[in-house]
Amino acid sequence: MSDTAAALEATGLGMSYSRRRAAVLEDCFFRLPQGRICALVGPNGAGKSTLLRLAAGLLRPTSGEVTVLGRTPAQARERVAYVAQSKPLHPHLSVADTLRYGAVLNRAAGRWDQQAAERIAYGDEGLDPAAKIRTLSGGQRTRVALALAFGKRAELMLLDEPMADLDPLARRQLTGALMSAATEQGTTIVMSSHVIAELESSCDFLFLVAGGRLRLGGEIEEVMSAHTLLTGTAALDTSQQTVIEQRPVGRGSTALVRSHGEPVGEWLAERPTVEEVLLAHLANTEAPPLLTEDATPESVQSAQRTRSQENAA
Amino acid sequence: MSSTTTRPGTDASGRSATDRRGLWAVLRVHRSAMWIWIAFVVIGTVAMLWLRYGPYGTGAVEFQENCGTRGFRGCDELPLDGSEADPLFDFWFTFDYVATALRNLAPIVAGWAGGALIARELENGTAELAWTQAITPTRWLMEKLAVPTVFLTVGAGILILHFRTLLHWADAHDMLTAGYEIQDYYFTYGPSTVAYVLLGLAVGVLAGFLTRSMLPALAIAGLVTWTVSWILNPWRTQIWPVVTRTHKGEGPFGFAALRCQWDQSDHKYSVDACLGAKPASLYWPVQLVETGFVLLLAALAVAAAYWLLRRRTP
Repeated sequence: MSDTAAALEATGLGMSYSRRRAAVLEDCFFRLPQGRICALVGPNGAGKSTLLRLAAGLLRPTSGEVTVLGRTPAQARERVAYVAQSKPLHPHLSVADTLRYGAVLNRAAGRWDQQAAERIAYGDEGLDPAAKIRTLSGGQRTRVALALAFGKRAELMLLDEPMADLDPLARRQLTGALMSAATEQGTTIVMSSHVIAELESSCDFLFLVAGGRLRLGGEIEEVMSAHTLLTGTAALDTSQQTVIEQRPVGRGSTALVRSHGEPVGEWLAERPTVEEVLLAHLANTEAPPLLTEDATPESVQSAQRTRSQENAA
Repeated sequence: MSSTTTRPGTDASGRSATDRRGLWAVLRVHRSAMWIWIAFVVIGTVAMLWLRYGPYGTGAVEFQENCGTRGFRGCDELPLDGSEADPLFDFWFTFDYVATALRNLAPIVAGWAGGALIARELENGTAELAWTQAITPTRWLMEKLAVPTVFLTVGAGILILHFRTLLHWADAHDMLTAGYEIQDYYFTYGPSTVAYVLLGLAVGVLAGFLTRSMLPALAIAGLVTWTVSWILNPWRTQIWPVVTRTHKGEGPFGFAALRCQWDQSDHKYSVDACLGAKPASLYWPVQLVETGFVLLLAALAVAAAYWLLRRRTP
């Protein structure tokens, strides 16, 4: 798979909106292979939206670079759909006119799929084509914004908090539509959220951003299996494992650790839930970041390889 | 670059097709502004036609008929009592009203361009909505500028043509008095009025990018445009030589001398002030230089707006 470009790849990516204020994103390295449904998780203000806006070609990074489908974000504009958190739409346009607006702006690229857009907007007892955007509720506006994204038939969809104001039924419908787009057309999807439960069922990839840095990245399965939840009373052997978080429970304590394959001793080892892993990493910002091989940029991988070869020699 | 050279034909046709679609997108988003502008041009045109062919115009023509000739009163000797002169006063009043509206177009256009065209879209994110469709930010700005430029040029051009036709007609019927200041006033209407409107558009766009917020953009754009025209105003005819002989026929549009004599007798104006009249032949040099200068300012503002946009977005 090394010959196909990554859907998203960042090397040393940093962004600050002003010289006086702290950077919103700092020194991010990551890679997202194509065809994944990726959850971008982090607390409020972690830099999720900034990351998506950088990838969508709306901002210029202050340091490092991000490539989208092997190109610069500006070159990839036609192939990327982006839905902003505030779901901006022209309030005085009707739903049908908004879809036509999307069609007009995208038809030059020859990718617009009116049926796909209409399915999202009008299907499943959806919206009235003649309704003005300003009369719609937040969730209905989200539906229109997502319809534009689907109509674009993008290879990469960047969705900033797409599910936040949808009712459970609409959420299920749209999740289904996203999943089928991913499986049928191989669309890569990145969804941000600060509620992991919202994304856990549908995503197979994960990035955790906190404090402007990437904490975790990789296939959810792989990231979870790298961690173990230990319960016991003995002292932890920190040479064999990295302790992410330790909390007293009853007479003993539970600890979330990243083990290095060795047996953990007299502890009850359990597989942690996604939420437990994420919360532990949010609580301990000192924990070393973890990127699986799939989530590591090529340049970093080759640098690591040469370093390990040098060490061996 | 081989891909672009192999199919120049398809590229050209594709571009013209997208141009028309871009037109639709801009017009649909700013449809109400478009209708307001069209309505303004139509109402302005109708008002000027009515001023000429309606009761004020015909009444004033009748009142001024034969004035200034042997056996009749002078064209400036208006009876202060009685109501025979009312149509002429009404004509002047309405005429000034139209002139004022034309003079104040540019700041209003600037406010609209700053507030509604650019800043509102930056503020509520609809600009980014466009930029994440398959249209680049520079292309977006180009369409945002091109479509209003066409509408404003055509509309303001129609209004100015009508206004100058009316001015000439009124002059031919001895309905204009021209004094020292009033001559300059009539020099202001021409291609430069259209240029000021375009300057308003450019300044508005720049203010929109600078403030990225609707109300400040509206206020700043309007104020800056108004200030620029206010600063340029005295320079308009000062930099040109004055004529020293001001017989009738040598003032702007040929109506300089009469008012000048009247002012001298009544208000003891200096002879110099009277001699400071500008000949009608200066009208085009004054207009074209002013138009060129204002268009240059507009081009600089647009260039600055592009530079800001390019700096912020990749």
